Amino acid sequence: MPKLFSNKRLIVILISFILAAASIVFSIRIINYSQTPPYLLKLTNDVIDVTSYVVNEPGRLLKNGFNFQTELISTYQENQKLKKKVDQLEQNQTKIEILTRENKELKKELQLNATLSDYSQITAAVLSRSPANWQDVLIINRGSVNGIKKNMPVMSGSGVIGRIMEVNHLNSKVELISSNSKIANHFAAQITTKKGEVINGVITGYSETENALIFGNVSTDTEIHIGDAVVTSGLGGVVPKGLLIGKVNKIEKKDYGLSTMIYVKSATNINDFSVVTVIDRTVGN
Amino acid sequence: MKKRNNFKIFFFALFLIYILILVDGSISFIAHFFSALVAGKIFWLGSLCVLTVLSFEINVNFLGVAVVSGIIADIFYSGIIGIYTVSFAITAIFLKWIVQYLPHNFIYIISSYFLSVTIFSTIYYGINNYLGLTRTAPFQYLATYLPATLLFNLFYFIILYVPMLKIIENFKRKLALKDEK
Repeated sequence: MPKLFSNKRLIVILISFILAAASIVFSIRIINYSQTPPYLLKLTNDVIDVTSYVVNEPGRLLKNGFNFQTELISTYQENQKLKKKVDQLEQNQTKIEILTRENKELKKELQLNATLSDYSQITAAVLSRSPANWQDVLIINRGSVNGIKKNMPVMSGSGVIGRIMEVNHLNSKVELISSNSKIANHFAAQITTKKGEVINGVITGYSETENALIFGNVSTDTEIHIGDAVVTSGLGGVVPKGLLIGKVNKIEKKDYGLSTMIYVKSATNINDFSVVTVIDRTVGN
Repeated sequence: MKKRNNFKIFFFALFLIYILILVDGSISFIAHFFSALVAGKIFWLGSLCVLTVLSFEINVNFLGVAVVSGIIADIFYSGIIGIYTVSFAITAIFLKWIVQYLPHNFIYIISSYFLSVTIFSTIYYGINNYLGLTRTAPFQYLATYLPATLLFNLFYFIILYVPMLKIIENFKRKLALKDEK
């Protein structure tokens, strides 16, 4: 009869394999169910964060330098375009102020303190990005001490770029909206057509060939046009209503015309950002 | 004395790999500014570059270092502990095995790095794919992601090799001097 523990190396390999598998399963459970990671992981993340400042700072400076150069080149052209928009903006600004005041008064009359579209902002700098090409994860320099909570949406420029997937004391991880991970939380979104009809759906992933986000889970007869705005619907979780995701870029009929695949061109460059804004919804906090 | 030296080597290797893990993230962040389409297909592996050079220059088993640094990378970048760790550990075992049969010169070291990037990246992708963390098809990985990763990491290695070698040789000299005393 062969001895049960005859090959030490094999036993070590087996135990290591079981430990590694257990560790992966445990980590995925934490990501899916827990509000924040365990204290030890948080602490490790914070210690790494402090040292990463020193290592990442030259890189950030370099990137900012490049940004500065590119921006300088395009300044003149942008200036011409912006001059034309200034008058219109001033008009819009006055209009917004009047509408905001009116909205506040109406909310007061209805005794509504806050709605799905009310939020405050937390600005953060991007520290690093996952070196693995299929993990669209950013690390930002704001954590729970700054009021960051799990699943908060993150914006850059005028569009949504992702959501907070892990919160530590001093830093947080952001999962980009372009993530194709099957365990990622997807954004509930809606399209408002020119006729004012609303179509609800979910941002299900990112198409590399189209270089656009995919607005899925849609089965509607409503006519959608290229250029229609796609915004967050405010349903499910802590994402406020009305954050701009992008504009409809392409519409494709799938499954013999039973479902519609909508490609959304992001409102912002989802790959180039140094500073991001974390959105904190007023309702539900 | 040997035990003390091993202890020093462990922390020296861990420190170097740790720094390169952070640099990898920084490079990935900057690279996306130039071309997101290309940068999105590269897995930056400076940490593996250190491990390869260390395996050739210092005759010690770096499995422990690979496991600890893998855990650090997993905690910091993905939050899923085990993927980087397993891939890094297997690559360290491979390097330990291959170093016995190859002479220590640049061509063989860069060839070993080439092989270890392939092994590391493939295991890493395999686990990610199995867990559903990526929708990249195996064919797509082999046709676009792996060649891009290999090509850019080759340049990365060429840039890192000389300074890395100088740092390691300096460390070895200091260690030998202390032993003589």
